[in-house]
Amino acid sequence: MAILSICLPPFSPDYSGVSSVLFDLHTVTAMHDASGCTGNYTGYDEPRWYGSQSAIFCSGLREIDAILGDDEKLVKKMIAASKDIHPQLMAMVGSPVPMVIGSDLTGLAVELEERTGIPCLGFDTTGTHYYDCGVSEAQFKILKRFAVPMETVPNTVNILGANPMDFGTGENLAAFKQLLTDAGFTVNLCMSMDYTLEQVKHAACAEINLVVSKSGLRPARFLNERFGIPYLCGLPYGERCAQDYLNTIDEVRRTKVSTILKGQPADQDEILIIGEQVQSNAIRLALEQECGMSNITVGCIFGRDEALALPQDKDLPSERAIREEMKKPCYRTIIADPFMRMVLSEEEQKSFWDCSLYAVSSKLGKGVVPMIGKQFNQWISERR
Amino acid sequence: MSCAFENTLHYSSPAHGGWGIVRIGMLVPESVQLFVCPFACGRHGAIGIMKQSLKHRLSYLYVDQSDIITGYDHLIPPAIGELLETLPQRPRVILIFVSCLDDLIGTDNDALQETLEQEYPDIRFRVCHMNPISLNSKTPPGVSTQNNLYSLLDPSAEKDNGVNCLGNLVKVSPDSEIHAFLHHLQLGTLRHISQYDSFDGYQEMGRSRLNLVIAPPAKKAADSMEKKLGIPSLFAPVSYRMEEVEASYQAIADCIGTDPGTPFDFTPHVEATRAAIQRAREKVGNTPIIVDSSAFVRPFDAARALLEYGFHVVRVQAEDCIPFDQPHFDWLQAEHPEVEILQSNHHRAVLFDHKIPESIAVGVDGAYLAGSKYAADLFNDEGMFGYHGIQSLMGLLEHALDQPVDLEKLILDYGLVV
Repeated sequence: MAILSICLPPFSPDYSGVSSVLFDLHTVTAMHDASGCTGNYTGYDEPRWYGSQSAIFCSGLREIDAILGDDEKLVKKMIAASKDIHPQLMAMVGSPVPMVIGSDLTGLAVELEERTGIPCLGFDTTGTHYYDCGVSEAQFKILKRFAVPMETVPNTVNILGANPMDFGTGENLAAFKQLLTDAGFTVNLCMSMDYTLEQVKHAACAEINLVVSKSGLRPARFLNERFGIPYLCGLPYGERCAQDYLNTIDEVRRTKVSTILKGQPADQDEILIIGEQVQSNAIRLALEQECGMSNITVGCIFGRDEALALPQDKDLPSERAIREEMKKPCYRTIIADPFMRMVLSEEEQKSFWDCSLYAVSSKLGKGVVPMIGKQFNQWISERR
Repeated sequence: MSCAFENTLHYSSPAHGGWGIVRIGMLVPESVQLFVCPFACGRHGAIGIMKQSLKHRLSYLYVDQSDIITGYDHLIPPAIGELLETLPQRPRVILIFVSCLDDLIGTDNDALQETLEQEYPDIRFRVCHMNPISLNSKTPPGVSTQNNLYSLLDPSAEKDNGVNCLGNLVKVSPDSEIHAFLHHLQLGTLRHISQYDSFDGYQEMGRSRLNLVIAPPAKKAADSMEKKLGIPSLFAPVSYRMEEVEASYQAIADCIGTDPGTPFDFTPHVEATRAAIQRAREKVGNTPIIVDSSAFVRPFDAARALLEYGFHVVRVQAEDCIPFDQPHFDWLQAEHPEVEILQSNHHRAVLFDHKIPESIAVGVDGAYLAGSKYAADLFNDEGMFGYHGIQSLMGLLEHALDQPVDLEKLILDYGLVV
């Protein structure tokens, strides 16, 4: 169903999600498009692009290739690039035009792998889904392809769902890793920011997978099914919550029962957090635990995953839905990306706590809010 | 990676891009834009135009897979109605942009435009294409957008002595001698679309006597204007070679055909240009110079000019060579085969094995790949024309070595959009 969007920019799409997962790996990746889709990713969805040597390219798709379905041209370009770059992995990432002409990039990847002997993955992304779908799919496919059975190494963890559209340049991830290290854990794999294919291969050595965004849930479930590794989904925002989080890691390791941290059901709506579900849940939990707040609703702008939601949480699939929810008189405080302020008129403005999300405001945002452990308490003390 | 342009996977450097179609379309006064496309197609344009504080003129109708299958043209008129209800001022023009996939599904855009104009007779509509998939066709998005901009001008029975300047996105510097030259030929002001705040005021360009096309993307628009508005055109692309500048001015005079009595005295401008070249050459010395297509529409013309003036050009960086620059490309190959021709979007660019840190790059893309410590702040020949354009370029070179460039900031401040 067509959706009108008057104030807000489009959010990060699926193909950017896939590409962000491939960014760290030694690949030859082609985004199969004319130029604009690649420009979306390199210009507005990938804060690590400047100064990087990541071999993520545009295929340079042209009308005549699309009309004729000339996949051979793409394959030849991939082979030529692989001869100069010598990748560990190759990937082809779809966009709206391949969707319309019915390109089978997953199938084409099989052909390319047969011709080159280099592992190759295809992603039939369409530009009609959000980035989390792409991150999720890419992490899943890479783990499925490369992770091998291993002996569990005590106190070793993997982080899943790390991506720049949720975590920007990764300040909160760095603090999160430090928290884990200080608690005696070793991070084997932080997928997909600052990781290697070797670490992916060793993914099964972890005692537990720590899911830090909605996009990490599917790969975590896969690793649970394939290797029996339980997961904990959440983020340790707030000082007390951080200790609880570490205790929960121990519990999940002991019981092998995967756990999702969400906070408490609400009697009524008072505070609205708009954003990515796992991060928003972590903010809710911290507000409850650290500040004694309650009646907190999460507005899901990238789709409401039932497993991550509490009953009061809302699916906000359009600008109109976001506006209608934000306008409700019951909300006295809104926590959201600063771009969301544009949705309300001047008369409708409420107490608004900025929490930039790269998938929304990109490089025009206000930067990542440090929230791990007591950083959250500092942030909240500046606002109350 | 030299001497030939190959069709490879494209590297997209952080310094790649330009104004983008959205910003070019915003040149139409009192216009708003509605993009009809999958949401993903609009992200770069939206964030890019927010950087220019123009987002209030840009909205989106996101279509999903089922809309694409069934066709989405019937969804646009009601979306226009909803959009109009939210706008504080009624626009005079609505540009409806469709994306690459529209080229493949056969939307009847003429019928759509007709329907909209019947429903909203006080508003002009144009269906525009943000379709880089057509980049190697005769009407790539840069060209079709220019066609749309100028198709909004109405025929006027009343003609005046104005001259339109087409193709350039930023108007020629007011300090250029072209203004005095046109005045000398008893012509009016050099008009540019960016100078108009109102749509009615913009119609003044329809009364002009001549279209001076100084950048290739507006050539087709000028042809259409000649047919529709009876305005003849002259193609005089920006050049940094004094010989070509002189020829351009002669061509303008010939085209106008009026005899002002005494010829325009270019002597002070020529002398000032020679002095500027001398100063820049003394300051720059033998420092390697990189000439890049992000700064120049015709980088091979610019490289030739600099070589003829005695500068040490070591590299020309471009994605390809446009036909209007081919003679200079050929000259460079024949006379200076030692100058490297680097294809900026070649897949091997990502290896970053062509660094020249102690260089001056004219153009951010060249600076990025070479890791140049120094760069001249020039994009797309903006403001340049004639002898004054050469002097401005020399000024940039003269001061390029004053301090190292903060390239990331330069790129961010400009707001490049792919």
